Parts: sequence; C-alpha cells; structure tokens
Amino acid sequence: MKNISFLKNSILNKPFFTIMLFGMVILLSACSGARQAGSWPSVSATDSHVYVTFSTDVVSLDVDNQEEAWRFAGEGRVEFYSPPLVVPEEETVYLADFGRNGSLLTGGGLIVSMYALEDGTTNPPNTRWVKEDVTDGRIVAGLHLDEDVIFTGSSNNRIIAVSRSTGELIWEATTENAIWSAPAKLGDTVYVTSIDRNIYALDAADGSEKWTHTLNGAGAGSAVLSADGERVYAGSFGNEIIALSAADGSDIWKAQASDWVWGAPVEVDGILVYGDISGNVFAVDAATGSSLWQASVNESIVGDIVVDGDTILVASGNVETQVGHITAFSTAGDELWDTKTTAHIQTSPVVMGDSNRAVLVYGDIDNDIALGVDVVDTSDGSIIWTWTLAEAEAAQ
Amino acid sequence: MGIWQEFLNLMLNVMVGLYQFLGGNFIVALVTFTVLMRVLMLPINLRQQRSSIKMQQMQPQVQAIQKKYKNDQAKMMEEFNKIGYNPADSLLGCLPLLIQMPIFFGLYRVINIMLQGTPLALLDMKFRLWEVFDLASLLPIDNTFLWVNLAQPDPFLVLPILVAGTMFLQQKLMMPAKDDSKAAKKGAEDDNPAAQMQQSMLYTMPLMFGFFAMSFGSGLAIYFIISNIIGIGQGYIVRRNLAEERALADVKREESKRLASKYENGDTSEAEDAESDIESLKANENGSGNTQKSKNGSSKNSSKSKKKKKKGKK
Repeated sequence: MKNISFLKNSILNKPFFTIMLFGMVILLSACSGARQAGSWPSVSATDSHVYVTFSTDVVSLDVDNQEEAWRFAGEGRVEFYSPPLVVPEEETVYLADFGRNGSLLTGGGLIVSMYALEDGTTNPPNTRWVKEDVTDGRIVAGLHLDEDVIFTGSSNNRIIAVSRSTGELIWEATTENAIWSAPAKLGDTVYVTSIDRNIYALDAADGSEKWTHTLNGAGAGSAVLSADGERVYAGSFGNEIIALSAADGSDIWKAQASDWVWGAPVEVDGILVYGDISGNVFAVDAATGSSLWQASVNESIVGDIVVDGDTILVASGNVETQVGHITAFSTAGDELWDTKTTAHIQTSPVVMGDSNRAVLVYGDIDNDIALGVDVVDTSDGSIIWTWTLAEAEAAQ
Repeated sequence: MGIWQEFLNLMLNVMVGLYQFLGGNFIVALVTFTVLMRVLMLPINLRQQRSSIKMQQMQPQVQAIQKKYKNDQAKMMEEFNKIGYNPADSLLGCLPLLIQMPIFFGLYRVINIMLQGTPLALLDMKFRLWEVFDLASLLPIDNTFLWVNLAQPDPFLVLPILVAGTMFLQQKLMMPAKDDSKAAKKGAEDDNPAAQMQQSMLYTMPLMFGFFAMSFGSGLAIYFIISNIIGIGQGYIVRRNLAEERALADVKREESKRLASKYENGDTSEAEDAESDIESLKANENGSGNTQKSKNGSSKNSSKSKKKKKKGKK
C-alpha cells in the first residue's frame, strides 16, 4: 500500500514527472550523438606489424616483439569498419570511419571522417590530417591507394577519390546502392563492384563512367584484375563468379558457386580460386573458367581468398557455433593444413609480406567476443601469437 | 535462440514478405507493416482512452477519499475498492507506449538489417530469413526515398521535425477532451495524476522521439511519421466515438463530486447509498456502451433520466 501511495504522491506528482521526462530527453539526446552500431573487425599488415580496426578501436601490434605499438580512437567514439591502408614507405596509416551522428548542437546528420596517421613511435599516433566532410555516407569499403589518390566507396551510393596529401575530395561518382568493396585500379581505370548488382569501370582522373556490367546479384567483394591485366573478376550473390574484359566489360566466362560469393577471388599460377558462404572452395582456369577442383572448409567464407607464395589461404567461421578455421590448399587443391582459430572469422586473412606469416582477426559484439588476433605460420598452420584486447587491457 | 531473437526474426520475415509481395518498395512495405501494428494495438489504445475517461470522472471522489483517509492506507484502499478505483490504472496511459517499445526496438533492428547498413547486418539477415524467401533475388533493397538514404539520418532534419510534430498532434488527440465546464476543468486537469502525466508527455515524448529520429536511420523516422499519422486518424475517430461515453462521464463526474462532498462531510451512510447509485450508473454505462454507436440519442436520454432520478432522491 505504501508503494501505491508513493506512486500517487511522488512519481505522479507533476513537477517530478516532468523533470524526470525532460531529464530522459537530455540524456538520450546527449547519448544519441555517440550511438554505436555493430561492426566487424578488419585487418591490414606489413612484414612486422598488424593493424586492426574493430568497433571504436584502431590498434597497431608489433608482431616481432609481440606487443601493442599504439592505439587510436577516432573522433567522438566513432566506429571503424573499413580496413586500414598502410603505406610503410611513408610511415602512414590511412583510415576511413563508419560515421557518427551529429548532436543537436552540430545540426544532426552523419559525420564521416578520413584520417592519415603517422605510423611512428608515439602512442597514440600523431595525425597528419583528418577530413570530416569528404562524404556523407558511412565507409565500409577498403581504401585503394594509387600515387596521390585514395579511392574508396561509401554506403551512400558513392565512389570517391580523395587527395592522399590533404584528404580533399577530388571527384565522386554515384551508384544505385552501397559500395562495400575496395576499388581496384589498372592503368587509368578504377573498377568497383556495388550492392546495386553492377560493376563499374570509371576513369581514374575524373570518375566518368567507361562501362558498367550488370552482375547476377549484388557484389560485396572487390573486383580483382588478372595478372595480365586483360580480365576483371567479380563474384556476386547470384552464386557465380564472372570474368569480364577489363577494356570494355564484355563477358569472357562465368563459373558457378553453390551460394553467395562474398569475398574476392585470387589468381595464382593461372588458376582462379574463390569461395562461397556455404564453405565451398572452387578453382577454375583463369583464362576459360573451366572447373579444376573443388573443396570444402565447412564454415562460411565471407572474406577474400589470399595466397602466400603458392599456398592458398582460406579463412572461415560460423557465427552460431563461434568456430573459426584457417585452411591452406596447394594450387592442385590438396589440403595442406587446417587450424582452428580462437574465434569465428568473418574477414579475410592477411599475409604479412614475405615473413611466412598470416594474421586473422576476430571480434563479435553481439556474441561478446572481444577483439583478438591470431598470427599463423603459413608453412604449417601453427599459431605463433595470439593477442586479445581484453587481456591487453587487463594487463594494464 | 531467445524469445527476443525469435520476435526479431518474425518481424524481419514479415517485413521481407511484405516487401516481396508489395512490389519491392520498402516504403510501401513499411506503411503496410505500420498499419498492421496499429491494428494490433487498437484494443489497447481504446482501453487506454476509456480508462483515461474513467479516471477523469472518479477524481473528485478519489481525492476526497485520499484526503479523508490519508493516515489510514488500508481504509483508503477499501474505499477505493468500493468505488471500483485502482491506483495502478493511472499508469495505464503509458501502456501503449510500453508495449510499443519492443516493437520500436525490434523495428529499429529490422530496418537496419533490411537496409544493409553493414555487411554484418546483411549476413545476419541471410541467416534469419525463412527458406521461402530468396534474399539474393530481393537485393539490393532500395535504400533511397525522396532526398534521404533510409539507412542514415536525414541530413536536413525535416524528418525529425515531422516526427516531433506528428507525435505532438497524436498525443494531443490521445488526451481526454477538455470539458467546457469550470468544475470539470478543475477536476480533470488540476487533480488527475493521469491527466498530469499525459500533459507532461504531450511535450516530452515528441521531443524525445524527435531526438531519436535525428540519430537513427530515416527509415525508422518514416515509420514514426506514418505511425503517428495513423494514430492521429485513429485518435480522431476514437475521440468522436467516445463522445457518448464522455457525455456520460460528465454526468458521473458531477455525481462523483456530490459523493465526494458527502465523504468530506463524514456522511458515510448517504455515501454508501450513493455508491449503489454509482453501481446502477455503471450498469447503465455497460448497457449504453453496447449500443452507443447506433443509438446516439438514447444514452443521452438515459443520462438525463438518471440526473432527474438523483434530484428526486435529494
């Protein structure tokens, strides 16, 4: 009875209730600018260092010394989806963020930033430049650097080119839906796949369209150019991979998969290897598209297929069971080794230069899996080093 | 899989189904989904409106009891029970909003998942969809409408302003109609906690949801606007249909005040007699409630005859 009396006398008391509601409004509006969306981790690497982005963290790890080099947070606790672009020669790491919501004071809207960080010894790293108004769409796609221009795409249906030295926008081209894949460039042409089912070939100088080709489904993985520059390969959610003429976009061949082809394929020794999200790995003749061999890794393949020398590396994962693997194949299709990773993998393995090492990154906010990295010896699949953000923070 | 995930999957599959069967237009699917949600919520909204009227009419009597038995909670509750008043019903005004919260959070996730804000969301969607849907053939789901990208906030703040404006109008219509009589104003506005709560919510909820709309994807803002417009229409119709009940409520409020004055004077025997009158009024309300839509004149006449009867008793 006293509780009811309390309700009547205080909670429902008009000034109290009004103040409480206004308090909620202020609290929510203050929080709204920093609202976080779910992301997955991305990774880049050099011979000795690994650079990971996950949620609001960008971390550089010194693999040789097995220690954290530096950690960086973007503006306003923004999240990162796009993998870092590392340029060791100039000791710079380029980043693009997922955007943050402007607060009431800044007039709302989405603020997406790009960054150039000095990859030196300072922690956190110094910024060479930060550009806030490059695009008004979230950036999920990777960055492609060519001379003085960085190419990328945004979720707001744009392909953009920005200055490497200042971050200024050089040109933008409009698509019909989001761009999630890193552009590829050959000569004066930029090739980009889009969720709108098209692959675009644009003039690198001004973004004008050279040709487009409609795929059998949405394209989330990057377009890949053949070793001779004659063909451009693109997988799609239409359960196939296609080879097009890089010059005019005409069909050369198509090959089937059993499910969505999400990650980019890789060409090695005249064969093209690609995977689908049902865990099947396919190898076809790169020139004709005829089937050479097929294998299975059981878990979903979402990332790109990569090679280290002649070893084909496939990362896979299952969100439900949280099991992840990295599996190595020879170019003949023989399974060389298979290693279970610390958690499920949803992104590409990245080869660490010529060091016979590859790095895998994991992290899943929905399943409470903190950011972590497994460094694997590509000769035998043994895990050389495991780093997790949780352990690193606990040790501090 | 938890119940929340099952709920999300159900919402997602309904939305994808609507999208597929309604010509692949996300906004049309969203409008249809919102109408469905509103229809499902209709009984609760009606109940809330009726409860609001009931609270309004009882207030003079309730306050008199509170005043008289302020040091005897048990007796106060006993008297509340006698007149059919439950303090917890004051909170019923929040119920439609509380019930909408899971739908709101669920829809937020569903819109984000469907509009492929992230690769993770698309991957999530693939594994949540029932096998009857071929997601690959549905992609890409068109993420643009007028000037906005539905997965991102409106850069020009037009949608947040519309969200706040339409929600204000809807809240305004949800409130019990203001009575012209001074006595009714005094009873209903100044002393009724439910009315006070609604008065506060009239301004705070639009502000709060306006802020939400500034941060969330425009698809969700459009859901709010559609939902509010439907709510405004529904509120208008409900308000018109409940006019009969309000007319009866006016009579009952006057009666309640008369009883309240008896409580205050300590004349409990007359108050007990009067309680039986209230019962007969309730019986009358139930009877007229069934026929109120078709027999507009009869309930008014019935109310008038009751008034006359009371005057005779006096």
